[in-house]
Amino acid sequence: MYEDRLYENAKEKYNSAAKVLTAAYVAKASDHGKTFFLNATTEFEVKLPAPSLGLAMSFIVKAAPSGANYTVVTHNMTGLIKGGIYSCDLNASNDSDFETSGGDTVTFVASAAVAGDRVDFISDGTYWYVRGFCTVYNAITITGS
Amino acid sequence: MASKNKLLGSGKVEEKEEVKEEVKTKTPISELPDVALPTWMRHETMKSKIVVTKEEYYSAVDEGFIQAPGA
Repeated sequence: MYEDRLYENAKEKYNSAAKVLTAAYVAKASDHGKTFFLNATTEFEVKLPAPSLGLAMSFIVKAAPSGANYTVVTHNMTGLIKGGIYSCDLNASNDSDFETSGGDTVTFVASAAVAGDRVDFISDGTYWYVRGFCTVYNAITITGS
Repeated sequence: MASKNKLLGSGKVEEKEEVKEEVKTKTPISELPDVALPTWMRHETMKSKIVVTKEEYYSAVDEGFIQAPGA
């Protein structure tokens, strides 16, 4: 029926827009536009696809990391991640992390990152550019290379 | 989410574990960013190659190929 088809189309569209991750994952170009919710008691690594102009994806903490960190890394572990992290923690004695030359790993730090902390990635075809938001100072870092 | 409950002869409903529907999570190729084709792709360890379709391009990206500078 027509309504059923409409429902199926809508379901397909919205299901493709988000995914809850509970284990290590290798993201593909077909994950473009997707929001990943990081949700595990044992934290894990997500590998980005190779950069390609316009590819974009976001990562949001659903379950706060406790025993280990969630990490998002470049496909070949080279320094392709540039950008800055912004924090609500205005009383922090230091600035939040930023990277202008290129890091290879974004880390949601255990016992610091909380639900709702997030990082958005978009690629210019050579690098991944990020903007991150965290509640606690240094709960998200960009490191490596 | 669909459930597979069974109506018993006594009129009771036997509750069974909910069956998750298969979730389609792939973004359609038509919704991926457009790219000027054909184009050269390079890889750190594999031979460079030319791709002529959007499918080939994003398949190469998944293999770690990057669009060659100036391509």
